[in-house]
Amino acid sequence: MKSSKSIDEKLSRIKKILQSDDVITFEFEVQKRGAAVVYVDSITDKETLAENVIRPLSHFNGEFNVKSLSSAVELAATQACESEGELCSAVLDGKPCLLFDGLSGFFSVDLKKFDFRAVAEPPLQTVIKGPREGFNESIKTNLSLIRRRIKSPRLIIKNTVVGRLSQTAVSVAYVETLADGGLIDEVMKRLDEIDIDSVPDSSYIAKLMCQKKASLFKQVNTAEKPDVIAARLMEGRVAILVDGSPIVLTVPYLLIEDFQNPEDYYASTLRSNATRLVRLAAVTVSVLLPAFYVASQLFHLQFIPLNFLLTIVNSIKGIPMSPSFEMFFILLIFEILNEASIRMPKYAGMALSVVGALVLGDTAVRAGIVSSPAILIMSMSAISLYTVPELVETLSLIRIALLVIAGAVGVYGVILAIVALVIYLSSLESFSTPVLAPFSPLVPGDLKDTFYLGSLSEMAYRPKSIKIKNKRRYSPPKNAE
Amino acid sequence: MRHFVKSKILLIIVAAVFVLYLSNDFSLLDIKETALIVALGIDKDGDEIEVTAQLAVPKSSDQAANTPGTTVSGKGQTVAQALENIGVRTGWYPKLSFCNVLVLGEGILHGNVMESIDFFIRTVKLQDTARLCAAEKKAKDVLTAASPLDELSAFSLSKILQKDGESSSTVTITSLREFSMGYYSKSAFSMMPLVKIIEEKSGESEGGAKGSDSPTASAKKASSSKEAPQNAQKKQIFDATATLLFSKGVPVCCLNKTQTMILQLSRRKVTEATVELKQTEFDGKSANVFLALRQNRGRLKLRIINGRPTLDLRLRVVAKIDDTDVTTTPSGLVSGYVVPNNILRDAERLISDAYREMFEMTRACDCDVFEIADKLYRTQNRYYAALKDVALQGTRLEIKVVAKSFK
Amino acid sequence: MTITKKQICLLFMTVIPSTKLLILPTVYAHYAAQDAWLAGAINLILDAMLLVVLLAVIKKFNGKTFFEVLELSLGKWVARAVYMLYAVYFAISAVLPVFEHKMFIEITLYETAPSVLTFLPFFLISFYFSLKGINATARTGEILFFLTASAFLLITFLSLGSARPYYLRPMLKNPVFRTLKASYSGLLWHGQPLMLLFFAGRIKTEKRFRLSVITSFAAAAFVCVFMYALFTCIYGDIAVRQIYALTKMTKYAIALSNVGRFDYVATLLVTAGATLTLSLPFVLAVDCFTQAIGRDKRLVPALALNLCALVLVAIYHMRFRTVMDLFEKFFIPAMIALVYILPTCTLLLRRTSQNAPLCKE
Repeated sequence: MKSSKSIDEKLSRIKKILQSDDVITFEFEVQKRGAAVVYVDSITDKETLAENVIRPLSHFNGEFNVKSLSSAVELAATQACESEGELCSAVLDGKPCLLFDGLSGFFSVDLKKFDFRAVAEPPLQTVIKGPREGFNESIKTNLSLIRRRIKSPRLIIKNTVVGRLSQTAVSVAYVETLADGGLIDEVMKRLDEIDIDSVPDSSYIAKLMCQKKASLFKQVNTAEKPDVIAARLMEGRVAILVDGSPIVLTVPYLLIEDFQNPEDYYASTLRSNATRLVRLAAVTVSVLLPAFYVASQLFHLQFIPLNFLLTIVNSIKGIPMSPSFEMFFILLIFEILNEASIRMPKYAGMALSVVGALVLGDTAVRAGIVSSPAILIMSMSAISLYTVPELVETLSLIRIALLVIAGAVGVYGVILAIVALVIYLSSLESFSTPVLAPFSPLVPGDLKDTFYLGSLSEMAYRPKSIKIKNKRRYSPPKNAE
Repeated sequence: MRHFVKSKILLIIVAAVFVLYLSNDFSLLDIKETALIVALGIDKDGDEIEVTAQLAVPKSSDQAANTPGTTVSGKGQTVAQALENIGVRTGWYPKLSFCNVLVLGEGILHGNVMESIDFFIRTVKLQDTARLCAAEKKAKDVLTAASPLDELSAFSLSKILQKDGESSSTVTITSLREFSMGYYSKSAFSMMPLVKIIEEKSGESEGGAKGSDSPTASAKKASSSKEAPQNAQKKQIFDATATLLFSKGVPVCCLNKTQTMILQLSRRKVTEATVELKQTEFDGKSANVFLALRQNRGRLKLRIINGRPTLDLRLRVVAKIDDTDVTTTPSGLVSGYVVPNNILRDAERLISDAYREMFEMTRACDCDVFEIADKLYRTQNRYYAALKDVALQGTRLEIKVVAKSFK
Repeated sequence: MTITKKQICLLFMTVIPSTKLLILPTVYAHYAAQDAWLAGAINLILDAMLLVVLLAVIKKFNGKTFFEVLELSLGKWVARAVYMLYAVYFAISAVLPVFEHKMFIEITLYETAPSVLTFLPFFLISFYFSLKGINATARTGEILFFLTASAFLLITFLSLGSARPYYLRPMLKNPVFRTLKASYSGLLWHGQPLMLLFFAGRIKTEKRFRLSVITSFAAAAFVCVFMYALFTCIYGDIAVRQIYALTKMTKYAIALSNVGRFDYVATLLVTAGATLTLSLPFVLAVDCFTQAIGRDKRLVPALALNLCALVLVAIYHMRFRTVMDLFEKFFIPAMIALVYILPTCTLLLRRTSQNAPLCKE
């Protein structure tokens, strides 16, 4: 639709589209002709608008056309708008639009002013050694944090918009010389296919991009730290940044990534290896221990050493619940406590700790409702789970499933469930990359960054589990032996 | 549609598993109804077999640290029947996988013991790692004895037959598996320690619980008062230094402590072995010397020389003087560190003679203590058919014992 | 989807040892006494020969599936009939190991709950495997290999201390007839290389394919023979009375007296590997069946096959000996024909212009 030339007519048309009360229209004169600026009150920098846009235009003496007028504005970020629709989008994006009587064109000035959280350390990915910066809700800040780490023209950012109503800005970042072309196309294609009214958080994008929507395991990885994202980009992955979300997505996802803490690469290799083994042991304990404990009591007494068995028998005397129900009950209580502690206001947290520790940990045992070994097993399991925070949701569900299976059919059932999980994971792919790589398919070269971590010089090549253009990451000094 | 069917199937499976989980109602045996048997005694009572089971009975953890035990008995025509009767009488399910000790009573030793223990070899419920021993009198007495070493006599017996026995040469260690392997071998030879109960008055034993005052002892008394009222006054310790030798499952002779020790020296590595040399010259005097033998290396090899089996017994030991009954001069203390040659030769002679004596004694009982027939079959197979009937009686024993000083 | 060389190698190394060490060592010991390892070695050599033949077949008709080879050489209906025959063979061959495994699980792991219910979930897994097909099975094998390998390492570590090589003597003195009888009876647990024939046409062309496959088979065979020998070294004359060698061999380790029966971990890990081995015939049976009927719908045949096996196990689960006797009497001859003779005959088929290899290896 072609824009009309009368400013009143133009404004009335725009007001029909932008009916919200926070859309402000300010009329002024340029060379004694009518002019107006349309902006959204809450997201526009009004001081700059007055100082750098309205004041220079009021004193403008040049030729009266859109090009000359836009050049008079003392800001670089001006953009010509072709249609009223475009104008409205720009206004809602924090870009005031300027209209002039008798001129058919408009232009917008980028004067966004949002209030953002400061760049701070994310609570889920804290480190003792290493960068502490974390993403915030501004896509521009987030992109700047990545750019600061990869100052290469090969770092490509592609922008797109997702969400029919929310019009959320989404940026896809990758290193041109590393990321596989097919992967980039696939990411862009899946982003284009998303047809949703709004995107409140990047997790929406992650869920909608998955091939297996109801999967127990994620197929898109997340990170809240720019150093992690930069490292992943350097391995040929593609990052997806979503405006309004501090969580950046990366694809393809490998399950082993969740066992790799950024700090592993900053600390000494020996220490990191020990930590990774501890993490593996902790995950095994957290998932299997309650199941094995229940199964051993019900079906396989011979698994337990005699002295320990006698202790268990001592402590379960008079407990009204069966071993399986007892463990399930404790697990349920733990999950409730966990959920409550996250949602509960901080000032009530102390009360919750007291209730949790004293009432459940001590009084329940004294009252003979639950036994102390069961509490001990559950506590060990619960604590161990948080060594791999990225997998907590998945593993806690698996833990419950294994516990129920163990209580129903014993350890053999648990083994079968693990095999079923392996079959399932073996056929699960994230953007055409098997999530179980480098174990299945076996990529021996990549095993040096799994449960064993090689030194940096050992990892001269990028992971082959992910399709990549350039494999060499590190070249030893020429005079090195 | 497919997704719908899939989720329905999944839902049914989840529901079924959950029902199973909550019910656990498929002839599952409750841990609280299970009797944890830690030792079994088998006795003959007339025509019947009496099985005595020692159970570990847990008690509240805020009570004494030790585990009190109780013994229950059952009788039947067979071991299996007797065990079943225990279950019937107590309402417990007898759990045998923790049973570490099998004691055979004197009555059982009159015939082929394999008839009694065959059940345990057949069953998968009992681990064949369980140690076997014979009781001088009734097996039940051994299991109801009030040992100062542990609340449960089975545990104190285990200590002798397992951990201590492995390092010491004074006890023969035989598991159910080893006994049956020997029984089914060409030599049909097997052995087990003979356990004797030595009674001590309360307070005599050192380091143990002080008599009947201890709370654990009272618990013990309560549990076994019917069987052994005299235990209230006396502590009983076990002696398992004698070894009972079996041929075709029948006990044929018994080795004393020294013979047990030298037999062990030739069969396995031991860390503690002592021989006493009487009236030997040491530091210029005639003395009784106690020699500790270390790093033993025994080898038994069967050769056929001129059509006659010859058993080569080679034993190398490193000796050290442990003690003497004479006062040693300071120079003697230093020189005594290195064992004089005359003492080493005396020790060699003593051990060789003991082997020879033991061989003759066992041969006279038709007991193939060095498993000559089995060695003939396995290492000299081509002579086996011709010599198998005369293997034991016709074998010449050549012994070479080399003792060296600990330096 | 293609199967890689690595996947085939790891599959062999998982599948071959994981079910040959439950009852089979006792079967060998029953007839061959101290030469039990030899009886096992004879069967493994036979399997190795089959493997060489199958590799030759794959080389000859490179790029073609066995079905395509049969179809192009003998016609569509012959190909379908042969595939149907193999579907039946795989379905039947799955039964005995499942019975054996069920007994193993119930006796060694479930002392307090001898319920058939505890084993039934296996059929859910074999159904899942059957649905997923060969590729998913091969991928799963890569993970399960690590578990099986660590289990065998643990078993070896724990049982070596109580082994006496003395019990292997006198070597090769058992009557030849009895050793061969042992091998014949043990044949029921062999013939796994046959699966390679049904992988044909889906194998990714890689360098040193044949060498790698043969080496992996040799490694797996070595593990089996070593375990048979170890079993004899531990039990000597009473080996014949021991069933489920896997759990029994380890329990004499002194370490166990301090920390309890952690050797069960090895048993459980082998059980995981065995689940794949036991499911493989189901997968291949469903695969052959779908090819034979010409429809790529796996759900119904997979469900039907697993239900049939489940019913069989539920009804006859206390009659392992009868089932084994039946298999020995009737199934072994059929097995020899289908596993060893028929694939060898495939080598005689002419390579026409239609079934010539697509590309050189």
